[in-house]
This record gives sequence, structure tokens and C-alpha cells, in this order.
Amino acid sequence: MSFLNPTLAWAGLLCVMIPIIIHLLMRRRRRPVPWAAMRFIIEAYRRQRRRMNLEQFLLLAARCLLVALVAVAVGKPVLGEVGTIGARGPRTLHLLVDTSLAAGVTPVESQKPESALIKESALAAIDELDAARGDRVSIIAVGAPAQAIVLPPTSEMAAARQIIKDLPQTHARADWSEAMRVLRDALARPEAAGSEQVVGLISSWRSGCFDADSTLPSLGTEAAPAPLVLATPPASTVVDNVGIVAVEPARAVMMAAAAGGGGAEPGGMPVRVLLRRTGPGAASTATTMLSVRAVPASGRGVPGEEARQVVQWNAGQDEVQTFVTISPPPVDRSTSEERPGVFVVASIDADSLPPDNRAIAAVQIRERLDVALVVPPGGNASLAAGGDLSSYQPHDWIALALSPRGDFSLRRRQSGELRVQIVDPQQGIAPSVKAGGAGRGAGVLGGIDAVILPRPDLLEPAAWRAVREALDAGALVVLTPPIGEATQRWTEEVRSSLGIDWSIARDVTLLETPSTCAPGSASAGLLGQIASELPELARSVTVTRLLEVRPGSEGMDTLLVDASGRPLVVATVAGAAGEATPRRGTLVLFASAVDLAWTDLPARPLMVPLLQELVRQGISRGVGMPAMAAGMPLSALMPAEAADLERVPAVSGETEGPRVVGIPARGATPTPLRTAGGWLVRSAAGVTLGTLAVNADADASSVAVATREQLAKWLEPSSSRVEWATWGQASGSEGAVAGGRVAGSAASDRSPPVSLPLLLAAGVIGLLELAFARWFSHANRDAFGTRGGPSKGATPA
Amino acid sequence: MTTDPTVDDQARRTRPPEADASIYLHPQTLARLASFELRAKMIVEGLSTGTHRSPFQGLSVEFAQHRAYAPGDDLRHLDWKVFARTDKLQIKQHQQETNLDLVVLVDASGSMAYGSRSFEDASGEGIKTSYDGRAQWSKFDHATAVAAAIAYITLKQGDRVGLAVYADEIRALVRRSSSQGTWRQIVGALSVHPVDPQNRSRQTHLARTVDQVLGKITNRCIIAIVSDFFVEVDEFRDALARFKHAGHDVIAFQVLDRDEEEFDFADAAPFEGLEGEAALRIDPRSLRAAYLEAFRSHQSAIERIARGMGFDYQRVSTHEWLGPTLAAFVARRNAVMKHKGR
Repeated sequence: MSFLNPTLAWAGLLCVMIPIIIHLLMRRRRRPVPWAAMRFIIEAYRRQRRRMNLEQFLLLAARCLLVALVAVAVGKPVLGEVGTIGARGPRTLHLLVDTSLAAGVTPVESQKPESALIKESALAAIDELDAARGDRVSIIAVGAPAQAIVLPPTSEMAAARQIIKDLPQTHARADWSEAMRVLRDALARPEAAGSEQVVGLISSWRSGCFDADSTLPSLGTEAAPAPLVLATPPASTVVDNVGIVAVEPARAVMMAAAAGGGGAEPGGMPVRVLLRRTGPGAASTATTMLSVRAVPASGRGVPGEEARQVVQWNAGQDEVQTFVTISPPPVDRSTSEERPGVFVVASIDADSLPPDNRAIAAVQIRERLDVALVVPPGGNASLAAGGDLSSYQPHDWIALALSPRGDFSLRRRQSGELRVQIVDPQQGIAPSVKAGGAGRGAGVLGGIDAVILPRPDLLEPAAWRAVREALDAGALVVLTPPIGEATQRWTEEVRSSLGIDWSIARDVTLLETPSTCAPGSASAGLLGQIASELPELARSVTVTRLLEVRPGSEGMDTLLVDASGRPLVVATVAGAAGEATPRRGTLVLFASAVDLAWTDLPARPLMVPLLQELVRQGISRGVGMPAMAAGMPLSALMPAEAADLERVPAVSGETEGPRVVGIPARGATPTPLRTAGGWLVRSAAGVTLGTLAVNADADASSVAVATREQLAKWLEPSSSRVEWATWGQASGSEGAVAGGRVAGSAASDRSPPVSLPLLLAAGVIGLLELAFARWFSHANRDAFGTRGGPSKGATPA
Repeated sequence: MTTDPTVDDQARRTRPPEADASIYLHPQTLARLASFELRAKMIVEGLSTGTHRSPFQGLSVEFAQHRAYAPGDDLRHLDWKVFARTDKLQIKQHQQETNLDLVVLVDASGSMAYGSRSFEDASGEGIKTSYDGRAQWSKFDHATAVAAAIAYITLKQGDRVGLAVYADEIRALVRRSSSQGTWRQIVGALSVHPVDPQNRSRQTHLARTVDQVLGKITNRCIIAIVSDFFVEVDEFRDALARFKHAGHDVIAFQVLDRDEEEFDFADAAPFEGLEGEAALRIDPRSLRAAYLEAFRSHQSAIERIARGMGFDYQRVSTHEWLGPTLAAFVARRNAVMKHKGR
């Protein structure tokens, strides 16, 4: 038997000797009483000896039992369950082992991660099983996504022990719900009916180890009631933790120098870093040293210069956001053909939970961005001819805004960061056989980062498919209504071809009075870099014609609106694409044509920064993949030709896990990445297609101590029989000691931490002892008494 | 005259034991007993005339009966008046009155050393300890008081009193005498032959004692046995039977302590016998009922045997004043004898 409070229990059990010691001491202390009528005492003693011995034995037994019961009640034993495995038939123990991020915390005083203690508890639980009797064990690792390591249960205890020892620690959250669903399915199988099922939940139960707001599924089914659930008590050791919640470079695309290979971003790239801290230390002021640097994703080459910054925490502040400007590493021309980009690595001082002290973000390095302006031949004649402003077509304004300092002759290739190509909408636009983000290949739009469609009405269905292909591959697509069309028939084609569910009016709305312009609700996204100036710039813009656009179920990002709140510039929501429509790129729709007859935007100062920022940020959004949290399924935005992932050790730190992870074909269950790190996305041919940054799940990094009440309430839906249990050594867990396991009802744990039934039994024994003592002492009998009066001591007066 | 009790105690201890007789015969007891006479239930053989009937009938004052003359009778006893009236020879017989001999047997065995009453309370003179330093008034002390009292009233009515202090045998003896110094001799003998504190294991041997007593007494006497009678019932019965067979009158004074009668102890402790019994660790409360049952059964048997043989039995408690007890006893005894016409 083992106890929840074994120290108290064993100390109490030692107290059983107290009545015996008192008895012995009393025997020694008493002086003999001289007595004359000894013959009558001897006669009475001879007649009563057996009864008196029995009475004394019963009295001593009752007193010892009383002390023992109180001790055991305080210790809170596990009775009749796993602690007495073997007393009944074979049992199957299902171990749900917490391998989540927060379970890996290392309290300062213990010098041993709690994950190691969790494994020790699991091993001790296995040690209590007896394979010879038919006991079996199954193991489910709950680090997201939950993984059935050993299921169906096995009787190979040695193998199970080895599996426990080799269980890798993840940087993901704990997925108890999925683990219990998997377990419930296993319990529902017919073979589970042969033995008694017991579920062991082994965790340190810090706040990050479980989501108290979630609802656990019940382990019971219609066929079988929920089994007994034994949960280890929550850790009580208080620790502090500071973690990096997010690292977000201003853009996912970083411009390299056209010459010289040095950093080209003027002044470097700003990187937003969000830090969070938990634990009692959050109540006081503190500082954290933050280091950010860019590391070549290939793992080769020279890292960029490290930017260091001291982050100040105010008392009570648990989140802080800071911006660090970094410079990119020198571009290695010898390996730049694969354009792997760089990882922006942010790290802070070591603390109790190392995995969240480092976070990375993937950034691509580009020498230029290719923009396709789809206009009919001769469309930019007026611009090239240097005509007056009234003769400018929308694409002229767009070209001018995209390349204000460049050569106006767009027929020629341009130099600079943005290279604009003129593409004839009626010739040469067709879907390519091969498409992909960074490695886009053949086709007219292949390799294009942004497609601008001032004349969508001219596109053939094949051209729409090519545009869709570019959009899916991550390109930015900008649509503006054609001028001079009273009825915009292309809007239906946009909805069907590009897979959006917006409602776009076919008829142009003529505004009686020009309406001014204002930033939309989502302007901080794509236009975040000019957000501070946007209200001022937008105020001078007026609109006289527009197409009314309304969002669908996917929603839309409204970047600019008119005075009545009607959307003027809208974009698809990042990440809104589903598995069926793996749209990586961003679609931007201007509700008003870029023409002076519709709006004076082309002539306003907003025009250039608006288009420049839309193109740069829109392309950034489609390039690569956003950083994901460990344990999340691989993004649906993974390039179709991606075959495997290769870990980049230079940015991944010393983490366990495989070096190469295969990617199943689309439609199959994606392989989860449970540990943080930087990965190269490779094709089957070994070509690097991009980069993937995986960070520790910041939402699961809270190391705050959970209370038993919280935990008991959270565990309640899983089973009606939930009890605390501690196997083996679990220092840091309240009341847990090596070799002992104690349980009490989790529900009853809200009451004083004692076993109430045992305490009740102790009370009954106590009453029995009182009755025995009174009855056996004959204090209440005076049938032979000659006179009343108080009893005297052993020495006669 | 000093009033310091300590000085009194010290002074008393330097006096001879006989001087302590006043401790055992309290003035109030004397006052109670002064008007009583101790009468013999049976006919005693006295050396001088007294208040007690003698078995010898002859020349005496009190006529008893006539009987037919038989050859050899002393012609001095012929009742000539009857012969003159009836012409029959009748011998006149007279009841001879004689003196009473009282022999007091005081038990000095180990069990008599027990006492729970304070000496100061029982002595009634503010004396806190006995001459040998005891603070408790033992059963032997009480037995001494009983012996002193009945000796006093016997001597007072002119009868002879003797004393035997016994345990396993007679330890001290005072020959029968009616002289005035006898009482002090008796008390002195009881004082110098108390229960031996160095040899508490001395057991009672009543049969041997009876043998020795009967060997020393030739005439019929009143035998007053003052003891706790913690002996076997059969031994007690045999002792009384032998006294009865010898024609003696026996008065059994059973001296008991209140603790022995109530056994009202609370704490478990080893109880050690005063007559050599081994110590026994008991819980008094759990054993009380059985103890009292055995004790009272024994006490009843003692009383039943004594009364069954026509003897008097009187229980005397060390916690009770002796005067009323003895006065009631003597009065009851005299009343019974008067009722029987003796």
C-alpha cells in the first residue's frame, strides 16, 4: 500500500507503538501496593484472568487500531485499486504520460526536470503490475498530437519500461482530449472486457499542461462504464519562466543587396518579439536579455550580426512587446539558387523551461520581386508617350506607382527591387504544369510574385486558371475593375475561378457626392508598415464610383473604406484557405478602378505607398510558410511537391527528435512536428523548396501551479471515479514520496486532505474504545459497592 | 504544658509502651462501655464468687433444684424440710456463682498491618504517628483498642482477663488476672508485640494457636478472638469447634479496613500481599466485582460459622468509632442472655 501523504502516514503508523509503550511504562512506574486481603484478589484474579486478558487485549487492539486508522486516514491510502493489484483478477493499466512542453520544467532546487519524475512515476506504475497474473499496460504520450505508443496493451513490461525511458519530450501542448478519445476507443474494444481497466494520468499538471477551459471526453461508453482514473497530484514547486511567444519579422521577404552581397534593407529589418512570463516572479520588476540574429537557413554561411536588447519588465507585467532591428547575413551566391532564405532566431536567458527561450521565424532573401501587369498590348502607350494625366489608364498609374523611379518603358526589363513585366491577357497566359512557391517553374506566370489585373474582363478561362494557379502558389493577385464597363461581368468569374465567396456587385455604384477615404478595419495587416500615416494619406482621397463588395463566410480584410464604410480595398484573410483550396497567395480587390473618373487616388500621395506596400506585404504573405507551433499538423500550405523536411541544427538547438521527417502525400494524415526547430522543405529530388519554422507552443508554456480543485473539476467529466495517485518518486508533487502511492478521491480532495471513510472508521473505533474502556474498567458498576464517593488511586489514602 | 504536637510525639515515643494505653482506649469509648458488663453465655468455672453462674452446685446461696438422695451424698445437703413434709429424702442443690475468665486472642499476623485510616484521625488525641512512626491506623491498632476495651470492662466487673498475641503461634501472653495492673500489662504486651514490620510475611496459623491456648486454659472461659480472619474457612471452623468442644464461649471480633470492604481503587498497580503472597498486577476496577464477591462470601462464611456454633460475631471497621460498636454489641449480648433467662 502507498499513500498520498506517506510521511504523515508512516509517522502515524509508528505512533501505533505509543499505547504499547505507555502500557510498558505504566507497568514499570507503579510501586507495589501492600495489601492484606490478597487471598481475595488472587481468587478473583483466577476467576477473571481469561476475561481480563481478553479485555485488555481488546482494549489495546482498539487503541492501536484507532491510532493506525487515524494515521492511514491522514496518509490517504489507495485501497482496493491499483495499489492492490493482484488481489483480484488481471488488470490493464493505461498510462497517459505527459510529454508536453510545460512538463519539462526544471525547478531550481530539484536540478531534475519534472519530465524525468513523470517517467519515474510511470516506471513505478508499471512495476506494480504483474505480467504473470495477466496484467497489461498501454502507453499514450499526450504531447500534441496525442500518440498511442503502446496500444493495444501489452504484457511485455520490460519493453514498456524501455519505451517509457525513451519517450521524447515534446515542445507541444498536451492533448489530453485526443488521448482520451484514443483510449476510449481502445476501451470499447471487446478484448478490454476481460480485465479490469485502470487509467493512470501522469503529469506535473502545471497550468500549461492542461487547458482548464476545455472539456474532457468521458472515457465511458454505452457498453462499459468509465474506468477508474488515477491522476498524479499537481506539482507544488513554484517556478518562474520567461518565454518567447512570437518572433515576427516585418516582412517574410527580405531584400538582399543588388550588389556586394551586404544587407540591402535600409537600416535593417525590424523584428517584433513578444515575451511572456509566468510564475510568482511576474509580480516584480525584472530584465531579460534578448538576442536576435539572422542565420542562413541552409545551415551554412555566416550568420548575421546579433542584435541584443535588454527587455524591462514592470511589476505585474506578464507580456512585453519589443522591436529589434536586424541585418541579414551576407548572401552566399554559391547556394542561393535554391533561395532557402534565413531563419530569424530570437533567444533569451536560460530559465526553468529552456524550449521556449528560443523562437525562430523563416524569412526569404530576394534580390528582386517580379510583378506581372496583365494589360493588352499597347496598354501603356500613353505613359510611354508622356501624355497628359487625363489620358493615363489604370495600368499606367499602377506601373508608375510600382516603379516611380524606374524606366517608364515597361516593355523593357527593369532593375530595382520591383521588376514589372507586361503580360498580354489574351496571349500566353495558361496554367503551367508545375507550380510552387519559391520554386515556381514553367508558364507565363511561373516565377511571378505578383499578378496585377487592371483588365479582368479580358481574361479567358484558361488565363483565370493560370491566375488561380499563381494564387495557390503564393503569388499576390491584385484586381481592379475595368473602366468604362457599366456592368462588370468578370465578377462572377472571379468568384468561381479564384475560389472566393465574396459578393461583388456587377453594377457600378455612382456616388452623388465624392466620398472620402479612410483606413479599414484590417489595415494593420497588409498595410501595417504605413499604418501610422495611413489615416492622413487616406483622408485626401475621394471616390465617386465603386463596386460594392460584401464578405462571405471566409470573411475579408478591409484595408480601405469610404466615408459610408463601403469597402474600397479588400483582401483575402490570411490562412482562410482550407485543405480543399490550398490558396497560399493573397487576393486584393480594388472596389474602385484606379482611374481619375472613379477616384482621385492615382493622383494622391497615398497611391505609391499603397501599391508598394500591398505588393511587398502581399508577396511576403504568400512566400514560405508562417511559423507554426510544435504539435500542430503540418500546414496545408506546404508545397505540393514537398517530400520531406530536414532539420537545420544550427537554429534548432539541442532538441531531441528526428533529423528528417517524411511528408505524406496530400490527403494523408500530416506528420506532426512535436519539437521546435528550423526545417528545410525539400522535394523528392532533394531540392530545397522553402523553410519552415516550428516554435515551442507558447500557449502551453505556463508553469504556474495548478490547484487540486482546478484539476479535479477538469478531470471530472472523464470518469466518475477519479482519484489521486502517486507512483514512485515525485518530488515537487505535494505529499508524494518514493515507493509510496497514496490516493484519495479527487472529488473529496476539496475537503480536508484526509480519507473521510477511514476517519469515520477511526471515529467508530474510538467510540468502541471508549465503550470498551468504560465497560472493562467496570467504572459504571457499583452493584457491590458499599458506599459512594470518588474512586481513589492505587495508593490507599 | 506544651502544645506542639511534634514535641508531644517525641515525648510520647520516649515513654514506655504501657503509657500509650490511653491511645487505644479513648475516653469516649470508656464512657460508652462504663455501664456495661460482659456476661458469659455459658456456666463458667470461677475461683471466687462473682456475677457469673458456676457449673459447681453445692453450698451456695441461690437454690437450684431437688433431687433424690443417693447413697454417698453428703447428708448436709438433705432438705430436712421436705423430708418432714413428704417423708422423702431429697438433696437440695444450689447454683454456685463464680468469676468470669476472659482470654483475648489478638491476631498479629502480617495482614493486620494494613490500614488506610490516618493515625491522627483514629487516635483522637492529635497524635500523627504511632510510636514506631506509622502514619496509618492499622487493623492491629484497632484490634488493640478492641482488646483494651473489653479487658477494661471485664476487669471493671472484677473478672480475670488474659491475653494472647498470636500469628503463626502465640507470640505474647499475659496471664489471667483481675488485678488493676492487668489492663496496663495487656496494653503493654500489645504495644511491644505488634505486627512485625520486618517480617510482614508472618502468616496466621489459627489451629496451632488454638492448641496452645487450650493447653494453657483449664477452666471454661470467654475467648475473644480479635482478627481479620483472613484464614481458610475450614481452619476457622475447626478452631471454633475445638473451643466449643472445650466448653468455651467465643466472641469473634472481625476487624476490617474500609478499603478491604470496598476495594475502591482506580489505577492499575501491582498488589503485594502482606503475608508473603507474590505481587499481582491488576486493574482494580475490572476486578472489583469479583473481589467483593469473594470477600463478602468469606465474611459471610465466617459470621455464619460463628453464629452457627452459638458464638457471637461482631464486625469492626477501622474507620468507625469503637465505642458505639462495642456498646451496641455488649448490650445486644446481654439482652439475648437475659431473654434466655441466664
